[in-house]
Amino acid sequence: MSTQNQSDDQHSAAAAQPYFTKYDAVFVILLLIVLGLVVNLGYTTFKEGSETEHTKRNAEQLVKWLEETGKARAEGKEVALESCRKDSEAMLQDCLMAVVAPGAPLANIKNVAEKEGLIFSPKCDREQLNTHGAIIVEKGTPKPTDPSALTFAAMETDEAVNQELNLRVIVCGRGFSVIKIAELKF
Amino acid sequence: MTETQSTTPPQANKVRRFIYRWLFNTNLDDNYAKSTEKFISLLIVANLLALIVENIDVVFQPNKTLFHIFDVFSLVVFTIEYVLRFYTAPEDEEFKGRKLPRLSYIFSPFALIDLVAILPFYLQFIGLNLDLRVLRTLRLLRLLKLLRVIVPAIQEFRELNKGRTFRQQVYALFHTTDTSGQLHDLVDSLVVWWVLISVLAVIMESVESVHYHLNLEFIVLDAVAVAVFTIEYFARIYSCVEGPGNAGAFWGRFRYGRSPLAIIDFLAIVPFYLEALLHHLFDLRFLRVFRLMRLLKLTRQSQATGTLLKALKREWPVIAASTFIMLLMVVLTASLGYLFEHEAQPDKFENIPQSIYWAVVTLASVGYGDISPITPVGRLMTIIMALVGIGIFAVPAAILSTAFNDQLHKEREAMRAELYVYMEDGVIDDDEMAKIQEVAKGLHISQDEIDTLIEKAKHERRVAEMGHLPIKSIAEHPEVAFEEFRATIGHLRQIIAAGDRETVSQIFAQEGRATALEKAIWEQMNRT
Repeated sequence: MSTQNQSDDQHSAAAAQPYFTKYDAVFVILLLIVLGLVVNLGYTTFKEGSETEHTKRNAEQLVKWLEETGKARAEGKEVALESCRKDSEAMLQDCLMAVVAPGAPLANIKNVAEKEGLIFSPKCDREQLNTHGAIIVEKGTPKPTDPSALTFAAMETDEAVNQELNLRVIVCGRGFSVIKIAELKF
Repeated sequence: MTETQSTTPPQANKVRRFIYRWLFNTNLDDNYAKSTEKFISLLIVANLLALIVENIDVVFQPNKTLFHIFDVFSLVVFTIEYVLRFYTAPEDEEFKGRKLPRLSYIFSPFALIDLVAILPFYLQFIGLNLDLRVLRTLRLLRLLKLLRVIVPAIQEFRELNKGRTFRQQVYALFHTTDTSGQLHDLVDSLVVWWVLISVLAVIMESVESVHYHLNLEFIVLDAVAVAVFTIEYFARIYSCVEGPGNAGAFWGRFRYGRSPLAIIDFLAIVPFYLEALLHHLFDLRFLRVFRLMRLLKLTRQSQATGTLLKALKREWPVIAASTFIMLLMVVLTASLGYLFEHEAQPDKFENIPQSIYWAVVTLASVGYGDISPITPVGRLMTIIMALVGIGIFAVPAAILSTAFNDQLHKEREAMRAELYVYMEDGVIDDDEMAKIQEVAKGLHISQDEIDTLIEKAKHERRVAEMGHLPIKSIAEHPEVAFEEFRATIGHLRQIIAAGDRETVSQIFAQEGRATALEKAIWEQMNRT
């Protein structure tokens, strides 16, 4: 058949050419370099993803603590940390810092994404590298049109802890993307 | 005869031969060997996926029982396969000639792999308490079973490509050629599966609760998919010069790089690199959606998109003309809507550009209802425009549909012509049949249709060679009878056209020269 002949021709033509040329070597090297890049980028992305997961676990711990403490505050029970008590004059910021202070219940919480990163930040800001990997606690206020729904915004620094607060905990993840963890009452 | 065969009763031999021929003999076409191989391969891949998913607590814990059932099912299947292969070993070409075929089978590399894949599970029953994690890791050995498919494919590829250069082999691996073989099919399947997995991952990532728990798994999936697609892209760019129309080390590759399929391949991988390298500087999460473009890679596997593009290209002037009329209608409707409704509803028909949204929604019969006319003249105009719109908007769709059908018909005709060329020597060999089936697959032609076409081609060849077929042969094949009838009518027409009609009519009129039926046919055909 004609196709068979064509194939035979190709075979005989191929036989005259060397099996592997220097251009083939260039291709193989280039491919290996690009594959190395994929592996490297993949590993970096995975590492950053793992850091985000770590931050999420930290935030989940914080949420659990805030929920338990919030319940105790609502029932008028004793709260171990003074700056988090309902009768305290402290600000929420002080309470949060006290929770992660050395010897405190959540002393293990650190910013794992950035060496000099903040543990708590008011927002996730691409302009401020140290907000990457931070936990963001936002305050919820009822919507004027529908009081049953809440709108959340960055917490003011002078937000007193002596009131019931609607909070939303989010984290500043990889690529400065925000990941919602939970909404709770404190 | 081997020792084993001589001591086995003839009835058992028959059953054994039947099982081997039915399930394992890959040299036969009319059995289930290929389906068995495919099923086992899919089960192995499913086992690997299950193994990965078992490490995700949020998925594994609530479905523990299901995972266990699946594991037991896999083991049962693999064990049955092992036992049957052991039983049918004396029928296998590889072990047939040996003194102890079954023993030879047990110590063959593939049998050892099969045994290793199931052994850890059974070791538990003889009191060997293996750690659950060790047991899980050992299940990875089941992947080795894939070698039963991969190794023969590699051997076939090497055989087919003996004496060919490295670049030609890379080309054969990624493109359908005479020397591609099974290995190319496996590579194609790998790419297709990764396309499907990665697209599914992109879709599932958009579900917040899923993304929250499986963030890392999605990252790994994407990185592996990009690695696979990058190798494919580079290999295609590198080897494209071996293909038709891409000669020249630089310009050939440049030409190929500009082709739609190469651009799709490029777009399938570039979001990963951009996001990984630049995510600190820009918010590039929107690029993730472009990973859905990977779905377009599947167009390489189907000729349907190519057919549609050809139809579009061919009918482009007509489609452009009807699109122009459509645009005219939109602008006209929007202007009239603005004219009649602006005063009554200045917020909704504020200006003509805003009215265009309403015009398109009305003319395309979408009718969301968020903007609607309230003045009597506006409503009357809407009724007329909506009625006209149904026709105008349907025109491009109708043109495209007809053109697509035509194109498909043309391609089928081309295939038929090719079939006739193959039939010139009177037979269609395996290679020719494989080529026909490959083209037919792309044109969505069923095996029945291919058989009919072959039958027709054979008949036409017979007619050409022998003039007329025996009645018995015609009666046996309705399709042939139909074609024969048509050919005879055509022949009659030629006689009528060529002869002196008047004289022939006079002969027909003579008493006893023709039957009533013959006269009737003559008169009928003479009239037409």
